[in-house]
Amino acid sequence: MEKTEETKEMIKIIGFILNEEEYALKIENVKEIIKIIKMTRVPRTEKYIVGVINLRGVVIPIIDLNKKFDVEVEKKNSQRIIIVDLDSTMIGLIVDEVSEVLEMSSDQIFINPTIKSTIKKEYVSGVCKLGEERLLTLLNIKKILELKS
Amino acid sequence: MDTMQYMSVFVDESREHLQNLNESLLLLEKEPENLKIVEEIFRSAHTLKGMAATMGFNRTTELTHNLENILDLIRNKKMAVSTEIVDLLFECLDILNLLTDEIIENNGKEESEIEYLVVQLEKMTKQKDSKKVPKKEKVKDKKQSGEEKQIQNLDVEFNEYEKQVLEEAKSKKMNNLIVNVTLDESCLLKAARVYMVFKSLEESGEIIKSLPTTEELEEEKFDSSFMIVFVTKEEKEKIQKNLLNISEIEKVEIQVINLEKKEEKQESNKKENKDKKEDKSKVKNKVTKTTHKATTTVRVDTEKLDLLMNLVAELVINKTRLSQLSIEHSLDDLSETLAHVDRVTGDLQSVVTQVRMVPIETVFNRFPRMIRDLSKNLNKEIDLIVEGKETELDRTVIDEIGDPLVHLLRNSIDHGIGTPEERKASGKTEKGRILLKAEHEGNNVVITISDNGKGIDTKVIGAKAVEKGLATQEEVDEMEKEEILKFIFNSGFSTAEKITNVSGRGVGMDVVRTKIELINGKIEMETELGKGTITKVKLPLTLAIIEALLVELKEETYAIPLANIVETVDVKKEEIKVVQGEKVILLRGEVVPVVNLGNALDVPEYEQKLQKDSYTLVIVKTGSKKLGLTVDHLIGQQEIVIKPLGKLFVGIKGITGATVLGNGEVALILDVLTLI
Repeated sequence: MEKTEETKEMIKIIGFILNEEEYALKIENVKEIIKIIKMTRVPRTEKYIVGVINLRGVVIPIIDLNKKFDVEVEKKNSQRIIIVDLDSTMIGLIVDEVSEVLEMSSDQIFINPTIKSTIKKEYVSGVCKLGEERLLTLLNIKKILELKS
Repeated sequence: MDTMQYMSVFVDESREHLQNLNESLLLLEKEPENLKIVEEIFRSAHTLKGMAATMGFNRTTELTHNLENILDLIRNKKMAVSTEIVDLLFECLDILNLLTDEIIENNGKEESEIEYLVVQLEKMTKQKDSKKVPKKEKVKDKKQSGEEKQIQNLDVEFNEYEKQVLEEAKSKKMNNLIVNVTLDESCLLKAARVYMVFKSLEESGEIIKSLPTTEELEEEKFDSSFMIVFVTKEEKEKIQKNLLNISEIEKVEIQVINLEKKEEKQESNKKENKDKKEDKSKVKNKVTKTTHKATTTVRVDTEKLDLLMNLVAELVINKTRLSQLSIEHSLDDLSETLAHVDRVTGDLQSVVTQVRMVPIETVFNRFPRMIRDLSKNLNKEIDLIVEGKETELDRTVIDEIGDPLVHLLRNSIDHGIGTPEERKASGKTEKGRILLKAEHEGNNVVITISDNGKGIDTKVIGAKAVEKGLATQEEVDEMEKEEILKFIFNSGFSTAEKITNVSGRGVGMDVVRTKIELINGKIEMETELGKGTITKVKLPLTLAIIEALLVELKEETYAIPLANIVETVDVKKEEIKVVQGEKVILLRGEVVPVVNLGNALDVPEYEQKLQKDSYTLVIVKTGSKKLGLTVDHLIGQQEIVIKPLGKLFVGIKGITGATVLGNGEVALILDVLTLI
């Protein structure tokens, strides 16, 4: 509270792993993280929409990010569903592993990274640099979920 | 004063008063002599004026003020009700409605012009005023004598305790006073003035009692004057002066109580008083009863109700899970408790469902006025009879049903009922009759619109259908009357020779049908040429909960709305024939295509299961055609709560929504119309 000047510039992100690479989402989009539960398949939809679940009475569609990025990964026990809230629509994202919540200042995030990424550029909103080695790709969740025209 | 926070209350209440005004005015038109109705109208207009003035809506205030003036003349018998007046009043109501709309849309800015109405109203008021001045004086006299009566009536009865207090005060040389305060007629916040009077009095003495009681005063359940019994050391003149300093107080009368005299009087008048009292209490009861009704309701945001519904559904699901656990672990104690929880949640669910119910009155209410205006426009005479307006439907259904009903009623007025001359010529009463009725029928509500008009000539409909290429002449010739009638629901189908602004542009009936089907309803029509037409609209009680059949396909569960299902049948493998590459069965002479539902829904590694060499088929209807869906297993019929699937799934064919099953898993609801 007392250090509003500083906290203003701090950004909280949730780090997670997809296909052995580190990614991140801004925490304000994330509602909660749950374990994988049984899903109901919805026919006649895109492959990456793996189904719907019931979360306390609300039916939420689940998207497998690996499938969305066309990566084949084996199912693991560490898999989690990150529930995000986008314009009051809840959507679940399956990731291989949720690592940690990180706090970083905005100057650690590079908006237009020149490094090569394995996923489409429009899905990336920036790269977070932690220390010398660690790089987390900050995903643009709105772009990823945008329905095809 | 920031009044914006009261906006929604103002708008809601204005709407209510305007609706009330509309209804009363319609009644008045029928019974112009009934002064009770005038009184009712006056009261509504007066309240509306008060509310608008408090909120600072000047145009509404001005218009209602002028309305009040004219109504005042009518109720004092200085003016007779004429069609001219009623029409003008109706026009004023329309404008008031418009002003309310504008207040919502433009954030409290009124735009409609009221000047011309005000001028007309004033003109009317003046006309009558100049004619009948002497009468007015008479009324004034009456008023005065009424006031005198009030002064005489300043006697108040006391109970033992109060008497004791008064006597004690007297022995201490204090003044026992009865204070009669009359508020200004235009006083808006009566309770506030009462509070100020009380406060002023309490500064200089002690209030023993008041008539009406303090509670009633606070709730403004009094006309304009009230009495207070008051003990003070001050002189009564000073008290009077203090009170008159409070604004909006018209008159203050103060009397000294004479206790002995009182008692005598009380003795002698006991009997009389008793009678009076009974009368009074009766009246009072009536008054409190009516006002009571108005205060026991609470306005709740419908979003909150939806949320509540959601939570209850969630509770039910978790309860089912608990019972499963208790069975698995054979915990008898828990089962007993759960049986109780089961009952309570069941009750809770039905109460929540009921809370969302709204009487269909809210839709029906606007029709009498509509019929009046339309029949006037078309020079027809029509009686509208409304039955069963207390029938309740879910709010979501109510919201959707208004427009289709308007269409149907307009059709009845325009095409159904003829002009008085036409009707006379065909041996009918000159006045046409339209019956609008709502009633329960199982889990549905049926709305019937029947008229005793011309009926529909099926030959004309048939010819039109041929002309439009919807069927061949031979087909039409073979059709039953009912089947031909169904052409009406096709788009662009209008047989009216003359296009009026009432109906007959041919967009009506198919829109009506689509709208009704959209809310899982059905529409049927019967007609007899020369006798009239009956239209029946069958609606589900609620959109949130439907009856469905749960079916299993491999490991997946789907729900098929019962409204779409004709029957379920078991057919032998060899009964399924292939005709032109399409699988069909013969069901009582009818050829019904068979669809492998598992394949249609791309169930992974699906293989149709056979139960003892036969398939289980669910026969559903899609429009006029039937379809047989193969399923592995029928689970059973169940009430399900429909949940939306969300933006990500917009436009998926074959699925309309989802529901949560007892075990917490999601099952999808099939949309048989778009499945294939």
